[in-house]
Amino acid sequence: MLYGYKGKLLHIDLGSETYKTINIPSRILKKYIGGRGLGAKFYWDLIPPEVDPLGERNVFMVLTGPVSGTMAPGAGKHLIITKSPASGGWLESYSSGRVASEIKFAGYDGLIITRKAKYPINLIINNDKVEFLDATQLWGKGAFEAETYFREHFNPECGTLTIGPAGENLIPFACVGSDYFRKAGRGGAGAVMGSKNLKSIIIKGSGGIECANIDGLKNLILKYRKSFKQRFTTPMTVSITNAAGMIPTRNFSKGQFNDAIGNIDREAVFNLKIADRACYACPSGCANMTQVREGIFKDLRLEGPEYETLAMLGANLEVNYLPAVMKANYLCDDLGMDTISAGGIIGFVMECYERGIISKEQTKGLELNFGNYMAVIKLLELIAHREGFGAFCAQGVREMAKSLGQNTEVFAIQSKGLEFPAYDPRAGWGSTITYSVTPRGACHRRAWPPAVEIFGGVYPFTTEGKAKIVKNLMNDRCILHILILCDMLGPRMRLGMDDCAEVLNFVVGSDYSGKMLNDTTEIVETLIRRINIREGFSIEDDVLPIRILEESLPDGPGAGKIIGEENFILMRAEYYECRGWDNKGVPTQELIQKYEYDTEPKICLD
Amino acid sequence: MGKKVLSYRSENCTGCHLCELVCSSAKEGRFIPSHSRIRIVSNHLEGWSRPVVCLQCQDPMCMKICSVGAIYRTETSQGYPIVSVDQNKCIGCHQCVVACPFGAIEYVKEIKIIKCDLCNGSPLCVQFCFYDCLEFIELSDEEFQGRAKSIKAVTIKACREISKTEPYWRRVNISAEVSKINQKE
Repeated sequence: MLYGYKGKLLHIDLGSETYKTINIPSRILKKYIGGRGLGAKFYWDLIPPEVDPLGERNVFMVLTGPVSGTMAPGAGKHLIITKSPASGGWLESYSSGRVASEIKFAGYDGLIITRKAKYPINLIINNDKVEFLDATQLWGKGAFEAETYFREHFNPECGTLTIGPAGENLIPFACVGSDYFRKAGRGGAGAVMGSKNLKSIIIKGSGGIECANIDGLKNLILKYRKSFKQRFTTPMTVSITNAAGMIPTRNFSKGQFNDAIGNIDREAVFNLKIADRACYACPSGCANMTQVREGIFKDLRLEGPEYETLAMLGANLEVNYLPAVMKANYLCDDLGMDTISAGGIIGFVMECYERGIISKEQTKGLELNFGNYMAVIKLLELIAHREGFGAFCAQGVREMAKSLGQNTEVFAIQSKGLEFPAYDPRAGWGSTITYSVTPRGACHRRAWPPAVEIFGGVYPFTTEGKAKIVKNLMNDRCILHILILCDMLGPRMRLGMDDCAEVLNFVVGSDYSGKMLNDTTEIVETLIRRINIREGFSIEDDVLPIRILEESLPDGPGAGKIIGEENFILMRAEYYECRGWDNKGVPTQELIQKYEYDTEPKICLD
Repeated sequence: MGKKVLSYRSENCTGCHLCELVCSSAKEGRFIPSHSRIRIVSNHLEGWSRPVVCLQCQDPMCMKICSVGAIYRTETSQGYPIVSVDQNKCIGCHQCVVACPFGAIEYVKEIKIIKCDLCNGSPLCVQFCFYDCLEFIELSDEEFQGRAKSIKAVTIKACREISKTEPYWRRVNISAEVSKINQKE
């Protein structure tokens, strides 16, 4: 018997308002372990390629890992798997809060939500009972108001997944919030919830989780206790990436924003900090509760802002006034939008506006010059409600560039329809691989090459060895996403494959080794690649915008250096080779047979 | 030798709930926070969390109200004062749950009444609090008497809430104040 797991999924059919549990075959649990692994298996079996991401047949999954709900360091994370409205393919999005542990305490390894409700509803999951509550009253309200309603009327200490107006209006970068400020942000999972007429999912469980070696797990935590004390907080990244010439500025036209220093960096954020906050079961909480002291945004209080928000809604828009970034952050959280994509989109339209491609008539009077933070704040609200010029921006950068034409695709900074996060690949060439080949689109969480290119002594401006380095970094992240452990805390504790195996064995009582886990990551990555190929993606989609490949940065260590298409293609080809895929990035038949995808039991909902 | 008490600085609490997890693991052998003897109350929107745990009162309301005498004052093997429950005598009437002004005593179906027993003198929650919130501190006799007096004052104040608010909201309302009395400079 495997400890840690519940071995069951809760399948909720919104169309008929019924629910039932489904057993997960133990062979599948053994092979895919949990989190991203199981998610890939479920996606492969349950979401056929012809399904529209915002259509009734898309499946919305909330999954946990084997260690969720235990004390394993950084285990408070859940994972949303669905078909992405932004890319039209594989989407995985992680967030934290009480959701994962409450799902486990309620007795499940995950929720699988199918079809569409006839009218707006809330799902209340209380152990083995599921209620379908009318959400008409909450529809149109902010994510915070909806969450507060349930904390006051159902249970103050529950797990919540809520969307804001952006999700209801099917914005392709709408996010799903939990514990107010935690967001499964990227790729538009919120729009999928909105398309199912699902405002919120509330979960409370009162059961427990058995572990194989509970004392082993506790001793392991105590062994790492020193590393918990040095709390890493993401705002400190601002000064690091600025020095490395990597912080996106003016829609990725520069790599340094010197105004950031002292204004929107760690010191500035810590100056407004009022408390430390932590995710569920985290021994090294890195969230900052901040409050604005003076000015027009006085008394605004939120958890954050984190690095990506500071860079994308700050530096990328040349906004150097921290309270304005905080206000934009708060609005995005409440409206239910991804701050990274929002920053990328506004950066793009600002560049178009300054170049005269978009006129003041088109923006309906909004003066979208870089640095105009009041316009940013106004535009965010318009986007979430698809009003005025916001309706145009709500399409995302890729679609906007298509409809504008005039060579705007050169500076439409996206890959697979997902806007870039805040590390310019020209200042560290490893990121060209992660941004192009990551299944969900441009993403910085599947691997973080700056870890070696800034801190690890690897020369940033070369193609040499990058593919292998990135692949290994990806596998290290993949295992954290399979278990699911925090990918901020894990690397800082230097949790390698062997350590992950130790944690996993303490919980489930199996005999996994680091090597076995590494093999699992290969199986999972290749399966996700197959999923995207089945969705119609090819090597033509593993590309980067022309600005990134053919223009050089004007400042910072990367100044004057051009990546060039040839170098990029070389790195990409090496990456495919490292994975054992063919030169078009397609997994070979040998590999498919070796990993036994087609001979294993299928997950079936009926 | 002085007496040790479990104390907390609620302003340092981050809401990580590790204390609940470790408490349940020690008492129940699995991670089941609904059976934890220590509870965290939070408001993530306002950004605060606070622990709620038995203060091991000198003059406990729960003991006074118990009609079968199942709750009694005793000491751990090191001589630290605790309030304990005799599960054999307990008839599961919930009176103590209602009476505790701090919401620090709870009823669960499988075991009847649960409350903190200081892990027989070495509380695990303190060991697993990585944020300097929970502390197990030694008080001199004088300090101990002072603490008992402050608890009494808060108890009287909090008693007005009994029957008006549910234990959870009593915890929210009173935990910040309790945090202040427990702090030893």
